Amino acid sequence: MATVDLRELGRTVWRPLGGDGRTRTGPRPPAVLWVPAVGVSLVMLLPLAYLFIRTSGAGPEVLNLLMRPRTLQLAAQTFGLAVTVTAGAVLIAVPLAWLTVRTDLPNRRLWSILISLPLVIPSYVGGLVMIAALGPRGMLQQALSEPFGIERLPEIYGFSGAAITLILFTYPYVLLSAQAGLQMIDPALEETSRSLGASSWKTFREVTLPQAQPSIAAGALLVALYTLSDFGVVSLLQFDSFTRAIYLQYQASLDRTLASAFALVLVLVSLIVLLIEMRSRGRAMYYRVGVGSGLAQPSPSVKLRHWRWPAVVFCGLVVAMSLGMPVLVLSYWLLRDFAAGANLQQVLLPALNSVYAAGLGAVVSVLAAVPVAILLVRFPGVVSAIIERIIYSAFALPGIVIALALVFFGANFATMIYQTMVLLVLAYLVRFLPQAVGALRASLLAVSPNVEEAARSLGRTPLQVAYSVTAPLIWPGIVYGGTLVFLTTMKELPATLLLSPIGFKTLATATWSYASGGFFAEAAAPALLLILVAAFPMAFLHVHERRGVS
Amino acid sequence: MTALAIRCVGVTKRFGYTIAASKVDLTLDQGKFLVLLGPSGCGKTTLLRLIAGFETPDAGAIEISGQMVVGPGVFVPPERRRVGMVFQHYALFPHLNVAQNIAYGLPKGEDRERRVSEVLKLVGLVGLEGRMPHELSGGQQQRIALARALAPRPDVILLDEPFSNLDPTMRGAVRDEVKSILGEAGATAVFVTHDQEEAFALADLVAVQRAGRIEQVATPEQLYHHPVNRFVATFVGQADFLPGKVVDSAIQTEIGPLPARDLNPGANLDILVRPDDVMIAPKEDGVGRIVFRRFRGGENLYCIKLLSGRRIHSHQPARAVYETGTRVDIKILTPQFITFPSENGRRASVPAEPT
Repeated sequence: MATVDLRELGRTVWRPLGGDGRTRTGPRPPAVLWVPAVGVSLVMLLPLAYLFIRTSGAGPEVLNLLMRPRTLQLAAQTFGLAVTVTAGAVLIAVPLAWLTVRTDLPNRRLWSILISLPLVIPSYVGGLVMIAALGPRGMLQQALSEPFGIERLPEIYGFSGAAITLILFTYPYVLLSAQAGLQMIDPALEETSRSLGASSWKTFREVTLPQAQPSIAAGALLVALYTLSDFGVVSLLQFDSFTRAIYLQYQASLDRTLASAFALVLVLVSLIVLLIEMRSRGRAMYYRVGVGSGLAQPSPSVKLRHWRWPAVVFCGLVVAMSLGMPVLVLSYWLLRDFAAGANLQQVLLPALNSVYAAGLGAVVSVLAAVPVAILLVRFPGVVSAIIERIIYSAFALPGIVIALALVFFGANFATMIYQTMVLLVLAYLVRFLPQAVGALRASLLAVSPNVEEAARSLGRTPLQVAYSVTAPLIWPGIVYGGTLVFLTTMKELPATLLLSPIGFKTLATATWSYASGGFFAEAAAPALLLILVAAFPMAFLHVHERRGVS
Repeated sequence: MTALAIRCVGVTKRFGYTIAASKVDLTLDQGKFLVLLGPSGCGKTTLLRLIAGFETPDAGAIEISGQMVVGPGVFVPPERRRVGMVFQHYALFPHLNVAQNIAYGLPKGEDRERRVSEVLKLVGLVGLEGRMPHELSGGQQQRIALARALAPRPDVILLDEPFSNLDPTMRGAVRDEVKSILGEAGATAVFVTHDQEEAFALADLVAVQRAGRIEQVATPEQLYHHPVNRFVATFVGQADFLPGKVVDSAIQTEIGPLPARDLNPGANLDILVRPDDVMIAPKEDGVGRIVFRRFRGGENLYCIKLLSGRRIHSHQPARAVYETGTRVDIKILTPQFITFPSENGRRASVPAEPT
């Protein structure tokens, strides 16, 4: 999952420039490595740099625009949404993680899979489902109108609708991270606590929770950043946050100064969240003393006793809302669509387009990630540290911001590639390179440099070593990184929406345009297909991670 | 005269503020085994990596088999140095089987297979050709790493802490085996270790290293009996230092006068005392008292506390058992006393008369 990358990020950014003191002054990286790596970093800097130049070019009036109450209100609403969603996701995910990892919950393996599945549902599909089910002219209202004559339901649009939707479809980020964190805790620590006379509640509060806290925080950060950058849900549910305001501003007026100013503020807020999280992480180190053996030890199961059934009901409720509801609602609308005479023909082209664009994105991102990852892992130093920071800071760049910057850039300076696949793939690269680098870097770290050195001293040149030793050893990481990027690109909405060549419709943009027009029946087919296609790489990643653990 | 396998001249390497190699001069004849011995972080592995070509020195030159591999304006990359390397964690290629691992450094051709079975025979692992590295025991991995390094017949073979990953119970046996395999192959070898016993067991020559500097290069016997300084003396074996002062033709110490030759009268000295040279005999008004005895099977190690508080250790036969607290007299039997200038004049003051 993407959580891996963020934990990586936390570890890297606070290291002082130039590494951890063991950094070697030589050997210098060869030009075949650092030239492309520096090139990639410059591409990564392009959107932000362009936005900055563009905004500051407008002169002091930008400041006046930004100081208006409207801007402050947007900032407050965006921040409020992020805080609410993060808190909600943590409140749902931490108990779920604990139940599925540490207790004798009935069928806990099955629950563990079910509650992580909402990850394959893009949040804008979640938004569509909420409206289609609970909105005006939605399923619930239709069901209630004939027997009871109810014409109005509580408002689904606005803050609460957006917050609930985002919580339901982002909590798995915290869940997966918290589960991993709980699994890493040495059971001996909990046993020690119990043997020292602490109750199971005290043990959970004072031993288990503090140790799981860094991984919970990592997941929470992911949710906060996701919420800040989310475009689909807030647009569909008409909640005024920065991303929606940027989009509306961009569409409404030819003067795009305000849009880019908003975008810069949004990046700033995201960076602040990033910094807060990293500061909270830096203080304590959590070790698990003792090598190996640990993971094989069975964790002590907490006996739930009469709490078993409330626990099952809680899990069931979460699954019903975040997994059952989307599948049922979308199936219902799909059937209605078919009944109205539609067929799957119309989603075939968007599906092919999606696979094509995501495939291009994955291949380009992985190719760009290879020199970067090798440079970071094998040649630590000042240059590597700077490149690393540039690349990971892309985590704080919302898709709509990248898209907006590239639109301006393409329209003004690169008309050759404007409205072509090139610009779209460039946006995917900026958004998802950190994931690809993270995956490659992890697999490179697992290859001891001694293995490469052994190959050198057996008479092979560096290129021959790369081909005959390094490449076969990191191949699983390359496939993993590519799949990860493919999966996330498939779901990507804002950049695809703004940068696709004219007439190029993907599953994501098709879903969004039908949904925002209120055509739930037409939106159901591409939305379901999107979930289905996303589920395959997800299953693959799951298997891959399982193997990585054993 | 035998040819030189390795020659290092003034080799210097820094990492930031740490000096890993400081003007290292070193030569090694063909067919000999050199052990780099020193505490961790002293730069011995760096020296090995400089010879192999994985690091570049800041100054100095290295020759292998008479050919300069690194020096002013010269850098021969690792793959052209004809140096074999055995790493601490073996670094076997995990995606290749045993035969493919060994064949990796061999030129393509029909000789390849013959050479693979040849070295497998040499390391005594015939029949394991098809195994993957993870299917081998630690000792087997070790020998495959050795076989892989030996296969291309390198001029020099470098081994970085090769036994530290093995179970202590089998370390000695594997060590003797590796030594005989290397001897049979007629190889020139450089080992890195921090274990003095291992160094003595393997080496023709030991180079004791500290903070990037080579303190002494000598045979194990010379090192043990004639260390050039306190650091070497303590690093290669148990050592106590007895302060004394040269008066007339003897060194006055608290255990009595010891013979002195060619020493400046009046000089304050510390005398190196090895437990093997210390004889003890119970005596009511002896110069020291037994503080503890440690039975080690083949011998007893006694610790004797002198009246000044200084402690001296002594090896005694397994059956020579004395109670703790026994007063003993001490005699030092050595053909030649090794002395170092006193570390601290005041501490070296000698009581006039044992009380």
